[in-house]
Amino acid sequence: MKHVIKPASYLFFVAAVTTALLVLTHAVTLEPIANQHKKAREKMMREILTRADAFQEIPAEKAGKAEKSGSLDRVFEAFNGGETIGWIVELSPGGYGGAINMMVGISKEDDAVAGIRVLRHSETPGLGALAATERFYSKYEGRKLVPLKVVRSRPHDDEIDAITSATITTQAVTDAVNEAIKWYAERVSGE
Amino acid sequence: MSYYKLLKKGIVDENPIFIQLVALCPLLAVTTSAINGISMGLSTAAVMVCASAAISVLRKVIPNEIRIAVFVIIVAGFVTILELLMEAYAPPAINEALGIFIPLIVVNCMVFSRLEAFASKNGVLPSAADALGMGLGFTLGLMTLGVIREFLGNGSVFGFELLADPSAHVLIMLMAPGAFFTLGVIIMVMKFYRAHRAYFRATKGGLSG
Repeated sequence: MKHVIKPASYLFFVAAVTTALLVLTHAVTLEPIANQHKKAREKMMREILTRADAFQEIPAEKAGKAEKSGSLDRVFEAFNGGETIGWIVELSPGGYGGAINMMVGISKEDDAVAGIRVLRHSETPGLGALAATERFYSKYEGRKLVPLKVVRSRPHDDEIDAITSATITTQAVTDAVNEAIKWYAERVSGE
Repeated sequence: MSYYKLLKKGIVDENPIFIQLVALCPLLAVTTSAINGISMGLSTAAVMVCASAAISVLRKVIPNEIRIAVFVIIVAGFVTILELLMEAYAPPAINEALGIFIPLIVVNCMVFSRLEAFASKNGVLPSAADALGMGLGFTLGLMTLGVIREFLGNGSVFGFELLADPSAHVLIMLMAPGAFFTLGVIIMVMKFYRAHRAYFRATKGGLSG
């Protein structure tokens, strides 16, 4: 019996100490991590809508999150000197390697897609991960607010050429942009 | 064994990638660019040094039957702590570059093989030196493959574009088979060199001999 109890209690002890260390690290880093995420998010929102000086989250029920099962996470209204200049829609469409946490900006004055940014993703490095680069973001900038399609060859106005070997990722990001466009059409311009 | 020899063993004589052929999973996944390879290699080396030192301290009190379970808990603990600390305090650019690789370290058999083969039988400093040597050897392997695959597949090295024309890029080099092709060719060249070095020595130089 001793040869069972001794190793078992030892393993329990090691697991308990490791767990305690993890709990401690988690508690200490919880706030800095939340701040880092908030900072990263605000920096990206400013990159998309460069003229904005303040962002405010729209309450979930007003943003229409509850009634839809899509990938929409939350919506921020962007202001410049108290005046609404656009919206930032945060979405998490399913990509090739899991959810892609991203933002789509809609500019009110241009009536167009202001830009997109990818916050977090787990796409294939070197292929789908290219979706988180400036070069890919620029494909969406200034697009008219009509549903976009993914193509593999030379694109027309309402088409996005896919990243080579990462069609699923491109499709996921484009679907999310279309969802943001749909949200805008239903919630804002349809009011 | 001197510390110099311990380091050299990991980097050259028993290089985890080119000689031992362990840790091929991260090799396939992250060596699509040189910078990815270095990042993954150095993070793994850091975890290996911590884990080896910890196991070496505990080596006399860990019951033999459960040593593997203890290794798993300790490595997973270090990896998670490193991940949280990096997310909280590292500059965002570094965390963005390394963040997705850190969870991969925990499933790396090379880390466990060093704990089992070395750290559980040796003192703290030799164990740390052994882990550092293996970690650096791993980094060297990942970087070499990263440079080759990034150049052939994307026309750049460390992000600097050398061949901008996309038609010159061999895309398969960026995918998993490309890692096997590259590794196979490197090992072939190494074996060829070694075989001939022995031949040269045996015949005291000269192919004609």
